[in-house]
Amino acid sequence: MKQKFRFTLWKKLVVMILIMSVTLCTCALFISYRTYWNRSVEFCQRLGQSVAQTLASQLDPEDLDRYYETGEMDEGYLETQQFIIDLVENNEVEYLYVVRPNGTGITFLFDSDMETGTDGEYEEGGYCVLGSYVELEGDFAASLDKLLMGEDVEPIVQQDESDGWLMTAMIPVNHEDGTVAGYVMVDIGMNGVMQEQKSFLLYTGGLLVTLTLVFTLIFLLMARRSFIQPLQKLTEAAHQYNGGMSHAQEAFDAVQIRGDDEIRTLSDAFRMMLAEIGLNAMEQQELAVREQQIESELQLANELHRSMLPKELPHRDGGYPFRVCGQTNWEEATAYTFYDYFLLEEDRLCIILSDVPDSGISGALFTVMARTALKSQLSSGLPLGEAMTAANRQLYEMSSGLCMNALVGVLDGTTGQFYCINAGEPDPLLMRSQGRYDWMKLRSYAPLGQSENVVYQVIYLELHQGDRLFFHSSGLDAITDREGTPFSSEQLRQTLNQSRNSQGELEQQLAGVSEAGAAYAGQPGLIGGYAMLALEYRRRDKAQAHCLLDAVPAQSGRLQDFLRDQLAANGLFGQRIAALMVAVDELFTLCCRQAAPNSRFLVECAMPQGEALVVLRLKGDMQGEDPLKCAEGTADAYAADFIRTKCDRVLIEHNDGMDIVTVVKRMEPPKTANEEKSE
Amino acid sequence: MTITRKHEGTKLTLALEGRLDTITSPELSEALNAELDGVTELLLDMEQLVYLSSAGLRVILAAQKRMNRQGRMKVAHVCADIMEVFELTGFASILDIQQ
Repeated sequence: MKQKFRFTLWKKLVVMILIMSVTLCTCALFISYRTYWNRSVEFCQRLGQSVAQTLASQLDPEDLDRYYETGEMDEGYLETQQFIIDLVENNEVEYLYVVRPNGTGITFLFDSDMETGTDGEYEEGGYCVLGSYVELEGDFAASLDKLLMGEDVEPIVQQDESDGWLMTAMIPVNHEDGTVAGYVMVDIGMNGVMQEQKSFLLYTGGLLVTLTLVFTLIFLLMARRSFIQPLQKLTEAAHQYNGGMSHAQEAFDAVQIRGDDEIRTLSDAFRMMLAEIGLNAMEQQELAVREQQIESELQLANELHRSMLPKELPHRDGGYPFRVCGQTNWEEATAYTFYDYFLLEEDRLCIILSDVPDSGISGALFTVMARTALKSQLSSGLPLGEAMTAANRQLYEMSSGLCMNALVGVLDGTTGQFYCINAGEPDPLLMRSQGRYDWMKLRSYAPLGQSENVVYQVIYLELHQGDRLFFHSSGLDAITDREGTPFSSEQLRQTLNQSRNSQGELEQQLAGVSEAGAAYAGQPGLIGGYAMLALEYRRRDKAQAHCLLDAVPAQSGRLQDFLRDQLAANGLFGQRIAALMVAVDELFTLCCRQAAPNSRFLVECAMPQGEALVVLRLKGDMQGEDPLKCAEGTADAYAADFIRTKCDRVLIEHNDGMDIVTVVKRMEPPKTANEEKSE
Repeated sequence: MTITRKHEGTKLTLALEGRLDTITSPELSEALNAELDGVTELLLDMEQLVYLSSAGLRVILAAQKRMNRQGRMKVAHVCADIMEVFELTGFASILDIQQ
């Protein structure tokens, strides 16, 4: 794979230094060359002008005019010519001549190079003899205007085919009125100067280039050593870092920075950063350990919490006159919620439903202490109100800002009396034997441990056989759906009143509520912790009793036993009850035929005191049908007729999904011995 | 933790005794913030220091950064356990540790 060209720092440095060196070298060479040239030209110019000035001072403009006009070489002319020749010989000049600018050229008047003829005379010889006219060319032609005006003209340097480089300096010889009489021109040979300049350029240029190369190389090497290599070492050390501190340490320790410059500062910054990284890693490690510790403590607290839940009541022959069942949900607990029940005496049950609004270790410990304190006070023999007051005072003293919501009740299994106090929990629901849950409005007191001086008053309730109470903590009400709408009290009541819940066993009822709550929330994260407790009073009394039966004919035997026991408790048995027993059996069979699949019947038998009256009620889902409405001529029709005949009253009711069949029979008084004898 | 201060001109010596952890490191941080103005040489004497946690390291690092700007800092009489902490965290290369 072709590597992408990278313009590294080193390359940038090399390019920059080379450009700078070349630029400086070129500038130095150029400046020195120009200075040398100017000096050389200036020297030649001064020489030329000096010689020209010397000759010009000897010339008379009038004479020049005369020579120009007549071309006569008199004695004075020859003397001047000889003077010119002498000047040339004594000075380092090539040519010395006097000319007269005219037209577009010049007319020679004197010339050091003027040749003599065969007779030794100047008239016939030479290139520049007096009077010869030459057209001006090049720079001379450019200066023609000045020449004609008799003005000063700058020396002209040009290359001649035969003489090489010549510099011509010119001095005007003017009349008094300023008109030009002639120009003294001196040609100075520049070949030597040119050669010297070439040598100068060569040697000086070579020296500058060599020195530039040497110093550039030295500088680049120093730069590489001073900051390219340390940067590379730091980069390498950084690349080697892989989270392991010791390895990174060694890599950075190997980077030795000698100077005390920005590179050292960078190196120190790297080390500081490494130390920061090491410190962060250490803090994370400590945090992980701390989290693990907290996790373990919370787990312990939760296990402790779970261990506080009550076990089954001790087994007793004949069972208890009540049933109690509890359930908790701690999926996303934000409080310690629990339920408890225990026997105060043989037939006295104490129930507690409670929560401590704190999910930390302190909450767990407080819950344990509070439960122990409350249970201790309740078991001490004090009346419920006094026990709660004492427990509150105790919790107030030991709490540090924590308190416990609690609903405490005591059920006397013998009498059906139920006493309770609500200290911060939601109101319970009560289902009488009619089969519908409704809210009980209890006076709510401050949670235990919140206020010191609270005197709790007891609420009294009398339960009958089949009555149920449902208690729950506030966490159940706090269940919300995705939109944040809470699980309302009405929804709870409706859930409880669904027939499968109201007539099912207590565990089934609690499971039904839990499922309804979960279905409402839709996702576990919206369910906080809560506890529920269901209590049913089952003691049979002569006046009223009930039982639950599956809606199948096979349960008829149980119904017969139940009815027989209830009637016997009221002194009715034998022949007196025979007709009723048959009628009830037939009625049960007919009702089973109409019952919804897997449904149950609640059978109630009431015998008001002082009246020889039996009121039997079957409640269940018969799909809205009248069980006594049967096709004529069938066995069921005969059974229905029998029931109507043997019972004083038969009543069919349909009420909110519940079908109720009520039969009433007035029982005959027992016969006397004589009546029996006469029969 | 006990901090003993000793001023000698622009030199400040802090002798640390006890544990430098999450609970005591704010104390050292406050002491440094209060005392470092105008100090060009800081010496932390750790002869009596028995424990150093990450919170303490952070305070030391902050002090080192500050003293880099206004002078220099040295750490003296470091016990083996704390030296090991310095080496593991890379602090040994940024602190001037004198035994």
